[in-house]
Amino acid sequence: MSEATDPGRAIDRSPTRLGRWATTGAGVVALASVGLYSWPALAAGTLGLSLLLVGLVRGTGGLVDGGAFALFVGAVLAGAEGAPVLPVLVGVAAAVLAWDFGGTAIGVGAQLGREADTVRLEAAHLGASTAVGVTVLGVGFGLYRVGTGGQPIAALLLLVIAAVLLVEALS
Amino acid sequence: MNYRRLASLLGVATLGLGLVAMVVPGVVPFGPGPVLVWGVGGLVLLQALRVVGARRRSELDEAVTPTPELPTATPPPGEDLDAVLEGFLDTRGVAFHRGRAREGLRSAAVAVLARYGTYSEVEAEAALDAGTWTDDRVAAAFLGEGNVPPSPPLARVRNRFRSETPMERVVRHTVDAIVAAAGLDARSGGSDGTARRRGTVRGRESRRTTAGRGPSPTDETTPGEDGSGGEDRDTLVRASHPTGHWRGVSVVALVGIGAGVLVGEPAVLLAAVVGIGFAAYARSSALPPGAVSIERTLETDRPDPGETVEVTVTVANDTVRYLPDLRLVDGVPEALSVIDGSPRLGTALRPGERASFSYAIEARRGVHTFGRARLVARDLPGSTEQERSIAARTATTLTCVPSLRPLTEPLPLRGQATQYVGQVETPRGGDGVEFYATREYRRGDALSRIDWHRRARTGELTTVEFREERAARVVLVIDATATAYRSAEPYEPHAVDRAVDAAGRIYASLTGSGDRVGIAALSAEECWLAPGSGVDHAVEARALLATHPALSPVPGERRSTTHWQRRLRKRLQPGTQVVFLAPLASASGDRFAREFEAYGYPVTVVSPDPTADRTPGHRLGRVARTLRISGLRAAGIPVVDWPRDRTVDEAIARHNEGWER
Repeated sequence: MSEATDPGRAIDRSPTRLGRWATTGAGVVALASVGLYSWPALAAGTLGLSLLLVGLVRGTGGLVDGGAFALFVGAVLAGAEGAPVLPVLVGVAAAVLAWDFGGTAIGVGAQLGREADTVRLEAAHLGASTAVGVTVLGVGFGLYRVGTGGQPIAALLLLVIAAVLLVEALS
Repeated sequence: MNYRRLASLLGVATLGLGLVAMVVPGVVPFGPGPVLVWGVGGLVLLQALRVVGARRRSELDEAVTPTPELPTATPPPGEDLDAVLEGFLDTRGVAFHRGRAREGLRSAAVAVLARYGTYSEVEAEAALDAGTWTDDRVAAAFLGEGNVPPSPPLARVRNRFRSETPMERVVRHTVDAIVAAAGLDARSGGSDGTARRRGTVRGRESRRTTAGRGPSPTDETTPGEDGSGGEDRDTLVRASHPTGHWRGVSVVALVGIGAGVLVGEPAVLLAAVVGIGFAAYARSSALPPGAVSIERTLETDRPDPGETVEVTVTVANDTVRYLPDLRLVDGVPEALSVIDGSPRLGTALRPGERASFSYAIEARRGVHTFGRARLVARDLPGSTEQERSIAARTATTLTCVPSLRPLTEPLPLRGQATQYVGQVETPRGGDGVEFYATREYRRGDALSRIDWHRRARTGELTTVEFREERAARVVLVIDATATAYRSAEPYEPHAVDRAVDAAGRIYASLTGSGDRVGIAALSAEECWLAPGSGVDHAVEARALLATHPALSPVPGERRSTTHWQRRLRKRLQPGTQVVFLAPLASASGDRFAREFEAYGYPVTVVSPDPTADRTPGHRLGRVARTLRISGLRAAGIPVVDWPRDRTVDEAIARHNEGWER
């Protein structure tokens, strides 16, 4: 009888290593950029980061979604309490990135497992998303620098409504 | 659809108006009051809430990859308790209900008591009615006429946590009582039934035949198609579809705008720009998914059993586009397991670029053809995904032919023989080694055979005869029906593997001592090697045992074998012995042995034991097998019972020492 090496070991389908680090990094950036400007922001951001980390360890998508959303809410709260534009924008972008990275880490982990070599795949995705984040951040901040000339409130409102309608049409 | 078009039209119109208002102040004749601002802000936040809700309700639509790392799992006999119970009943019932469970258990108990107890069948029935056959009150009452006593309160509390129904409890008690009556390793009546139940194959994550293999009709391809190239090489299993990865990103824009309008902070309003940017990126489908080609090389394609073989897979992007997200799972043959590394790769490839990865598999008897690899490809944002099934440029096949090693212990054969000289001792005098008789000298007897001592003593001329040893003609019949693919643990060698292994060793032993040996399989697929001996025959036998599809290490579909059984009978010459290698996990093996014995072919059974004892079903399956073995022995058919933790040599040695009778 040939002796069987036990192949019954389960495949580790938890989130990937690189993805976990990237997600944690983005979450920390999101919290650090706005956490110092207001107490509610710090509370929401801390909650968000904890949820994010628990979600990553357990591989639960819902927790990562919730954590990233709380980080985003923290950034908005900081903005509402008068935090400067740049940290708020960084916080929002980092929260979105943490959400994207976390979801990717969980998805790649589930499909390929932790033992597989997935560095290139993840690097491409993380790099692209980060580039988009930096670009929109730049655009947002640029708009702020250009648009401080006191535009009429009616124009602003129309633009806002247009943006909402277009976002709706896109999603 | 219409809603979207309307929204985008209105959006563009409002955008234009807003831009005009910015450039030429005063064109828009109204100034928004605070009510309008609050109204718009509130509505937008409400919409954000809806988006969050939609995200929470929806699930991601991501591909589920197969698990080729693990070999096909095989269950122990009795995985399905109802099927075991049916085996004890003569007629097949249409539906299975409590009454039939009781009937099945009752006949099992009668069979066990009549075989191992001091009861006749009638006495056994009476003992069951009276409940005197066991100390277990639950079992006695269930099979007898009394009422089943309720569980003690403490046990009832425990049962809550075990999720065992009252019926399951009664069945467990009864099976354990039957097992105890059969003198097998009995489980103590109560404690930990569920802990054992957890370990069954059904509970495992990786049962290939169910969820693991995934929803792919293209997965099972014949080896011929694999290497043929053309359109067949790359099949789209699932076309591009949204994954839902970015669903709900618009909430960033909506909250930014809504809250920004309400609180009047530019920082919050500008957060919407970030949201819109990401939403546009998610919608862009930048760098759409595409196909790759793969090539697979093996370290060696003819390894020895148990040898580790390194598999290297090279993935190439033959398109002219950048493929940003490629997730590949290689098609490891079903019977083989990955022991090192991972047959998966996640990568991104520029046009013309290639990437490779490698993993190690453990070789196992048989011909193993690598299947198609599964590719899950996405676009750059990860919002669309497609699944493909890709064959390698050339088909990859691994052939593992174990060598034929003789047994260390001779397998005792039954007493019938051919005209060839061999090892079966006949009740006839002639040429041989062992003294048989003396007889009167006849003209022509060899001088060396004359008993010269007697001649000197008495003057009589006598001839010594020795016991003739003749060769046997033996056919090894391997049970390879669906019910023989059983093993105590899901991933250990199943009964067919063990039987094939033993058949090779028995073949080498018997041919080594001059017998003529043939091989057949009890299987839907025809498998026959006529009895013979010699080098060429051994080569044929070795190849047949290793590579014949009927003896495949992976269970095939269930088909009738009766037709083949008839043909086998026609092929067997009179006087041929049958060595039947079967787990006796079902009644069919039992029937086969009895029938061939009845036709006049002396049958010897070598039975690898695949039974387990984790659930009542498993334990009852073990009882059923033990009953079959003792039934066969009672009918005069020798059975070598081969436990899973011993080698076949040890099992035969035990048998030869007469421990088993």
